[in-house]
Amino acid sequence: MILYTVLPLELVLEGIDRERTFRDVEVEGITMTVEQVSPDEAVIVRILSTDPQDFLKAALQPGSRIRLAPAPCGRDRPRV
Amino acid sequence: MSDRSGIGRPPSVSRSAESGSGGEIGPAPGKSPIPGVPPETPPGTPGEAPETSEPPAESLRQLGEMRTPPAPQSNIHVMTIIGQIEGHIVLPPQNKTTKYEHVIPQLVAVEQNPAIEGLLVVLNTVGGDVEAGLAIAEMIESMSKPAVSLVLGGGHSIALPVAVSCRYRIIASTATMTVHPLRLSGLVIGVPQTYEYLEKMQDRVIKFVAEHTRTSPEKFRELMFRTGELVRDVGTVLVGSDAVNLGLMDAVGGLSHALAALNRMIEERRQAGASEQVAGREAVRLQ
Repeated sequence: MILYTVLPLELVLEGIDRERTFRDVEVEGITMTVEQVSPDEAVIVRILSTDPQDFLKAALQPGSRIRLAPAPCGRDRPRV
Repeated sequence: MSDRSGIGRPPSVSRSAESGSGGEIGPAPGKSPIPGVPPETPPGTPGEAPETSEPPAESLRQLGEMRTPPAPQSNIHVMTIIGQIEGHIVLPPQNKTTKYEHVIPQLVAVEQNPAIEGLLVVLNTVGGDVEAGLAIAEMIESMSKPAVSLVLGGGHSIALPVAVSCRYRIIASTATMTVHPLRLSGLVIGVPQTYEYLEKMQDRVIKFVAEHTRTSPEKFRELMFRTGELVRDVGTVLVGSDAVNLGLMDAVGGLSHALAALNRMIEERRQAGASEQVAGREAVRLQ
């Protein structure tokens, strides 16, 4: 592969050494790996399912943002 | 990857409704996702009604996206392969890559879903990982549903096997395909066997392309190693009709050609379907 790009290499590689934290959550019965981007939002990284039809769901494509409910009183983080 | 909307999911249900109000992620209100842990709130508690009727403006504000009215479901699945096909190094997420671990099961779903009758593969990619490219190509090739590929801009390197894995291939007149030898990156163990291995890898690509096109393995190998075409590299750049003349692609065209070809193949398959099903049942009985 040759990466033909007008972007400078620094932009292509930006964030390559950033530590990304993933966690597995269950949404509508589908387990997925998400990356938390803000306290109440996460980006889907990967669907973990054995049902192939789950991979066709437009709302659950990798890169989609899902909202996580804000934690109720007495708990500071949603549980997984 | 997909432009289908709402398979197995009512379009009226808002995504933010997944969160409910129980403080948990995803599950329906009143239902605990963790076995053995009682639900947060008993069913029927005021204020925990699912947010299914949330106005579109709210969703726009919260997610920065617009909800479009549900379109009639298409019988064609569009798979766009844009950016790199995986990659030798895992680039940060701002780079466009095929989510290979998502694309493979998606192809299984396309083959299995009775509502989908055809696959359109749109390629505009620089190529990428040989293993990932060949895996996608083999999956598309072995599908029973008709597939059409459309190469726009560029379909370079390992995108070539992906493009030719479809039953009918169309290239835009301005699109290019680069044929070049395989390379290894990263740590290479300097033993003669490394080179033999590389040769073997390369033969797999040549074999796949030759088996699925009108190009001979010798011709394809010659294109791969041609000098004088690329400024700093070995290989050939094929522009639009060059790829068709060499027998790699079927026609020069665009979107309407691709969809017309796919619809024709779907129609043929529908007509052949009935008799094939009978033959299939006979075959099962004979086993």
